[in-house]
Amino acid sequence: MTDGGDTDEALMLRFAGGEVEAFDALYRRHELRVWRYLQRNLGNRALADELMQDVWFAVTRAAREYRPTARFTTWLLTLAHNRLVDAWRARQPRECLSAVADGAHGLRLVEDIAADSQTEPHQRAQSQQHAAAILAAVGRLPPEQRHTFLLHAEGELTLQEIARVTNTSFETAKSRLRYARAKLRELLQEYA
Amino acid sequence: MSDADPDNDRAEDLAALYRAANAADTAGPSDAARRSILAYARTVARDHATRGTVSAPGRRPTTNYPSWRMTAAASVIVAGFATLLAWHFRPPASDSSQEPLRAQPKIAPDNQTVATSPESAAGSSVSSALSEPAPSEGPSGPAPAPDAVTARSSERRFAREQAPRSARYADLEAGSVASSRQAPARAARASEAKNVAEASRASDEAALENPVTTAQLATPASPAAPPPPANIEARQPPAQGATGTAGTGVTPGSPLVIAAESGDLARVDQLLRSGIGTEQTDARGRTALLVATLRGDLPMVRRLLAAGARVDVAGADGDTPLAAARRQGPGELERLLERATQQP
Repeated sequence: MTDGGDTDEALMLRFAGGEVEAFDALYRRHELRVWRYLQRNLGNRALADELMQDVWFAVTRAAREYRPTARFTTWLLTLAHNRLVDAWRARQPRECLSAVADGAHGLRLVEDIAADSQTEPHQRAQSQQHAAAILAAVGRLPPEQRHTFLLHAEGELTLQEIARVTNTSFETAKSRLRYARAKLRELLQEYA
Repeated sequence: MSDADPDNDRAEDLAALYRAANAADTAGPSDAARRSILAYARTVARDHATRGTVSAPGRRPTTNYPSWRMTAAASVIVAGFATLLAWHFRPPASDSSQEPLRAQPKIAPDNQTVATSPESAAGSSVSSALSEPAPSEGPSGPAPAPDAVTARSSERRFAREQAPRSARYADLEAGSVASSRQAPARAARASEAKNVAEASRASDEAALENPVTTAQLATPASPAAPPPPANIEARQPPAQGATGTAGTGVTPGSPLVIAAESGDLARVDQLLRSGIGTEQTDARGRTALLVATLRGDLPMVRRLLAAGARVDVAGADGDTPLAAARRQGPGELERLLERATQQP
């Protein structure tokens, strides 16, 4: 990913040299991706903010030791996933991520989609149903499948990268993604 | 994402659906979290820039610079060496307690010369008083206040009242203290002893200027002690081994002899109460008892005998009180002196 011609890795190296502007660009580029990954998995915005800070603090601290041996996005989501697992183990949240679609956040998301002026009224209604359905379905996935699906859909990682981030084998990552899609289709049939 | 599920086109549709729903989601991290992250990043960036400057060639971090280590090691070595020197050259603690012991032999010859018979003083209270440990001979403890009255100071006071010669000891001790590097507490004790001696000297007036014999010091009497009874039978026995020669310790103008010669019984009584020795003599070697006998002063003789005055002490011309009384003819004076001579 580039911003003004600089790749993520180049921005990290510049930040390691003391350029705070490089970090600002890097942060703007990946802010929502990391936060959504955390928030979709946790279902808690406050906790997502907390883990968000931990992730980016770790990024800044490790900047001098950063070596561009892999994609920056993979390394960044690895940091986020590790903190997510730690928070999951410590907190064991009982709340279902389907609250994202069921709550105010989900409703606002659906309304935003419906407000798209480019869509016709019948298309808006269909988009609202689709958006609410997909977010609710993602929230109802098992944790491992949800992690895998979000890393694929949100983080745009390959199966190889997903396996590296989740510290699993390629086959395991592939199976989880397959199960996640099957589960989503099943859930979307219910919303249809 | 061709390797995600290449055989299922609908899988990509699911991801596309999610992204489409996600694109319209305006929710994001709070402003507080964003500001915190960016502020922390600025701090770290400044640190990165600073480290890059410090670690430039030609500069050396302070913690790695060996110069301060050498300086610190040299300081520790010098401080340790100075401590060893100070410990090595400091005066040992036992020196202060040994100084009076070194001063005592200087006093011993004086005792020999002053005392007419050192053997006779061995069992007397004077000898015990003189053998009292010096103020600094005792174990080194907390020094009493200069005006504090301790058991030892009371004993020294008693000894000096009995033996004014000990004032010289105090003077010697004070001199040794002044000439040595002793503790201030010991100097205070020495000054206390000197003050006691001066007080005794003031009470004795000029009498303390004359050294006395141990025989004279044999009669304990303190200002607080009751006056001896006038009964001649209560007189103190003479010190053993007394030679009877009053030639030693002759001081012209002895106050007791002068008072006896002038017939001032009240003055004699006052002097005896203050502890003055009865064997002091005038320039002719006459004791107060001999002078009183020569004058035929019976009350004066009775008072001196009650105070322990010896009847066998002869003057420079060999005259004794008993001989003088016999020359005056039989009478109360002769009988009184003969009876005193027969007393053990």
